[in-house]
Amino acid sequence: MTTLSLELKDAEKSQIKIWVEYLKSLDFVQNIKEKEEVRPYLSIEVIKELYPNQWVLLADAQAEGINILGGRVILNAPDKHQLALQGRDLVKEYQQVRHFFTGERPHQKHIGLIVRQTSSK
Amino acid sequence: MTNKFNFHLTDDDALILVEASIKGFPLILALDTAASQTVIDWNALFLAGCPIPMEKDFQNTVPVETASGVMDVPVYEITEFNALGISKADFSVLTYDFLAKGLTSPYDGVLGIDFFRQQGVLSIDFVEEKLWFIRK
Repeated sequence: MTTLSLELKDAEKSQIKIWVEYLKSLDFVQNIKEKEEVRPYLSIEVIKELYPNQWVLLADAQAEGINILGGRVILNAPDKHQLALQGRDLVKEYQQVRHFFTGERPHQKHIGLIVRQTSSK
Repeated sequence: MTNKFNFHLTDDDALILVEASIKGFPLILALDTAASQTVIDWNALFLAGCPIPMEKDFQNTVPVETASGVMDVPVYEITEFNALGISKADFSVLTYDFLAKGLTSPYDGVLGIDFFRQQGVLSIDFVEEKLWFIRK
């Protein structure tokens, strides 16, 4: 196995992303992991500011109960379905993964009765 | 055995949100003692790594009465489910793609009374914003 390492300046990181995605698509390239510095630990306040109204997948997430304090953003998507489809494999690669929505919970919406009827088909 | 949890009702239409997990993958569910059945967003189950078919490919569905009428909802059995200190193996939940049904809820589903049945006593203190589950 050949391992290559690249040191990039901040301005180059976004430019190189398209090439990294291309390399990942090649059959003989098995494992490309970006260094943690590329995905730094961010507080929940910063994540909400950087990814407004997005579904976000965090690795190394810190939380107190249901309250997420921060983590490393490994994926973001405008809707949960997209996050689920793209994030399922990522979840297996990281520790302490959590997902959450950075926007506000819709108000004036209420949970209705959910009653399962007896028959099934 | 008593398990104690805090919740926070931030406004008039706030929900009691509790943490659950599927094989260690955390979910956030709304506790709903008016729901006879636990419902979990298909997207959350898929993200959690459950070997779940696409919603249209489910064989087993049940009719469910909701505020907008009766609809057929797939049933999915979770091999390892935890919430409020209770672990359940092979726990059956209803599931559908919340987003596809127009629900954009930031939580992953509803924890219904089927989860607590035959388990013990659930007490909710709305003043102190705490809940207890006492296993019997």
